Amino acid sequence: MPDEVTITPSEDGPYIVSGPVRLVAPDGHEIEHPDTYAMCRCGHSSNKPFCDGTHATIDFDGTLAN
Amino acid sequence: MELLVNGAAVEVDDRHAKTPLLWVLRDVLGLHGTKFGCGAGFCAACTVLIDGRNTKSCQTATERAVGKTVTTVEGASGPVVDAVRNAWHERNVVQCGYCQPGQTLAAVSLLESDPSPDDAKIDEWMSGNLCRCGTYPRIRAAIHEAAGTLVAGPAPEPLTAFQEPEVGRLTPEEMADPVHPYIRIHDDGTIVAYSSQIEMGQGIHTGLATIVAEELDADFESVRVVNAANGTGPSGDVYGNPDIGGAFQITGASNSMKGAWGRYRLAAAQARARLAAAAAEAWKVPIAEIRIDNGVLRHASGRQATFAELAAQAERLPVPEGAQPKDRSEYKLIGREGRLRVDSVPKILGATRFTIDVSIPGMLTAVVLHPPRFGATVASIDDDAARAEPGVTAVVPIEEGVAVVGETFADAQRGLRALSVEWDDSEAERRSSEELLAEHVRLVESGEKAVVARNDGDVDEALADAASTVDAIYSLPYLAHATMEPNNAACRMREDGVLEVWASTESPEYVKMNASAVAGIDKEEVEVHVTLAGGSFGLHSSAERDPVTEAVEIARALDWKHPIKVQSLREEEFKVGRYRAMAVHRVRAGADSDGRLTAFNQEIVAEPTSVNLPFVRDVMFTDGVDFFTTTGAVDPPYAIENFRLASTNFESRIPTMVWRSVGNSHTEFARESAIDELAGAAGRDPVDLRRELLAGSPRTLRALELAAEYAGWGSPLPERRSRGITCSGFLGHSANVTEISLDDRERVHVDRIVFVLDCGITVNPDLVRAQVEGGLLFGLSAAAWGEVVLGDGGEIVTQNFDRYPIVRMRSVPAIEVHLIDSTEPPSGVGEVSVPSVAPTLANAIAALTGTRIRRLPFSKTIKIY
Repeated sequence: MPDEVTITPSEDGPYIVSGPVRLVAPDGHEIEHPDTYAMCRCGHSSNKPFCDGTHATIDFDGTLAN
Repeated sequence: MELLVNGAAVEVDDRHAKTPLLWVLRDVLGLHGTKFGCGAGFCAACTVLIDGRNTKSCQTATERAVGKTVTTVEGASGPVVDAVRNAWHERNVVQCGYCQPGQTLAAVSLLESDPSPDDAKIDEWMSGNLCRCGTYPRIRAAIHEAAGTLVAGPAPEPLTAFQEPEVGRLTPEEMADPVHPYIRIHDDGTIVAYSSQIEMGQGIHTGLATIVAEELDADFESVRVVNAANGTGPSGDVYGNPDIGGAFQITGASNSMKGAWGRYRLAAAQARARLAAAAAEAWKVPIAEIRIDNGVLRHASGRQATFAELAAQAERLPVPEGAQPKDRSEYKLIGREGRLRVDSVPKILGATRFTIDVSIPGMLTAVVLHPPRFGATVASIDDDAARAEPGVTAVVPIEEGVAVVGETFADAQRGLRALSVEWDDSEAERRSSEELLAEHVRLVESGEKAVVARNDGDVDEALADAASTVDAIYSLPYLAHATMEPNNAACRMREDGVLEVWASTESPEYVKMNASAVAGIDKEEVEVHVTLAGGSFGLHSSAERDPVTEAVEIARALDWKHPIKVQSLREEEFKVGRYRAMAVHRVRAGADSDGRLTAFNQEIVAEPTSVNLPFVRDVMFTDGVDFFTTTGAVDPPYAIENFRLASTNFESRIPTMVWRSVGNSHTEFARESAIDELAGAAGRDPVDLRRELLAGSPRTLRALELAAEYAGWGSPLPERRSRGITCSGFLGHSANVTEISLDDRERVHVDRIVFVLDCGITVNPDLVRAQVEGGLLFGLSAAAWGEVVLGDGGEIVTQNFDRYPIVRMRSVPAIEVHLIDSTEPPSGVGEVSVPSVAPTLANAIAALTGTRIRRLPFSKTIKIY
């Protein structure tokens, strides 16, 4: 696993997250995940907090503000 | 742990605390209605209700379900459940059925929370549940219908599944009988039709039930249909595909009804004649005086008997001379609306046994790790950690990779994750898909290995004389079938030396060849059980190096001590390939000064496909040309005076396989795009140009004219909207008009598809429409987003639905299907609409934006939603 956390918003796609980071649900349970994974950015994944590929098939504009 | 499942408290061993609930339900509690699709939360085939809410059981650690109520398809009940299931049944929603337990539970959860959802709400709620067959439009309609039913009054009665009839081996006497291999009338009145054609969602079982009931004058509801196999006898295979001469059993090429039309109508007519003869004999009246209606034989004297009462007697009689199918003027069922699918109730109730559901006493489950590059082999294995996993019983190196065998799937999967394998890449395919594409393009431009498949007139002279020309290269990627049920198989060596194999194969003959070769036994010592397929689209046409091979290799390595079931992980399924081949086309076409098409030269580079199909290749790969590559290009519906078609057989380590619509899936993209490009260059209307080329194809012409009419071709559209059109002579005669719009970010929305089809006699019009709808959505997924990517060094990058998007409900356009009345024999419909989607969309996009997209998927160039 990389020793530093990196979050990369992919073009019109999910946040690619890598590095040592804990993912915790509102109820406090830790969500297991691989070393590198994709988190939903379009809001339409049916597999939140992860990406399920839906962004590619819908009208999602992921253009960054800066 | 204590779980509350379907209203009952069950104790589950704590070692399953972190195991996904899906596998505890399936492998520990034996509830097989909940399905595995992707293992990653992308597809929702594993949907269950947890505290009433639709939840993915593959993403739910079992310990997290403690203290909650878990409801699976087996335990769901109540008015909302019954209303949903009834609507699913009555609307012929189901095709392969694999995703439908999950779909119906998601719909139940929706209606429990919102009794009258609008389309937008349905789309949002249901978009988590993938359906590869493309049943979304019907799901949406069924949810509305269920909502209406619940408002109107009492919910319908619960659906109940019938017992699936057992399929035994035919005796020599039965095999010699003209009727028995195909139709049996049981003493409880059930009529069982034995289908030589596998049901994989396309509806052939319902088609057979319809023609059998029609010719028998039976009650349609009394007909059951099962997949048959093991029909080889002294005079060949009684289940040999009649459309290819009957030599061996195979389902494919959308020819099931075309072939079965003769065989099953005749067998049913013969069975009917035999029943009439039995009645005549029993009642001592002339056979001509017997009347048959709805499963009852009658005589004017007042005597009557049911089929069941006379079945045994009839079976002892020879078939009366001259028994022939009806004249179509007498049809009561064929061509009429109203038939409901014979396979949908058990599929809706989760009772259908797919290959993944096969359970045999003493069985172990195996998963196979395949190399990350095609053609790589095992260099070394470190399996200490894998073997230490509880429940892992063996690690077996096999030809295709390394198998981990466990007591349950979850055990085997944990073992696989702990496995460490070094791969030898010396023989591997190291090219990326971009490099492979570049090599295809180089070959199509050089023509150095091209073989001419057809050459009419003088193309070169006609091109030289043309007033306007097109010279364009079209390219298409590797595509996966991505069936909802990953490819699985099971086998058991019986004590009598017979190797039983369970597989949802399109060709039981291939399974026999494949399994016997691995096992080192005679082909006829293999007995095949053809399970219903959770989708296929050509995937299950494989004849080697597939889960059947793997299961037999593993069982053999373990000295045949255990029945073995191989279950594919979604990632592993992508890694074994069997893709629709990458294809690159170059088209040079010319028109004269009147805008008439005078020359068409098409060159194709693709890896051949038919070579992977025994027997088929003997007739489909001839003189260096693969007809499965050139189909649709070598035989266009158009009359073109100067025409040349050449193809180049690409070589790589990437396994190819037939994929719904085979060569037409790429050849029509090139052909129909190029025709439109030439129309543009020559200043012609795309319909007018095609019309004059179709003078010799009146049925295709009629489809084109009607599609133009229904879609309002030529009528003005609002700003930022356009239409595209194509036509085809593939299987039947069809045309597609697609309407699109451009949003303010220059993205394309597919609004409406009008598809007109002449497929001859429609046995069940509603099932034909369902195939057309599903085919269009299958084609849309491929055209818009479909692509298997090989990265640097040939690494297989695309491994699950997150990188291989399948259309979801919220992106489904309005679809209108129009069937043309015909008296011609039925032709195939399972694949018929697939090839039209990409070129029609390309033509619409070019009309709207001026940009001609020649590379698929469109998402490489423009966003489609």
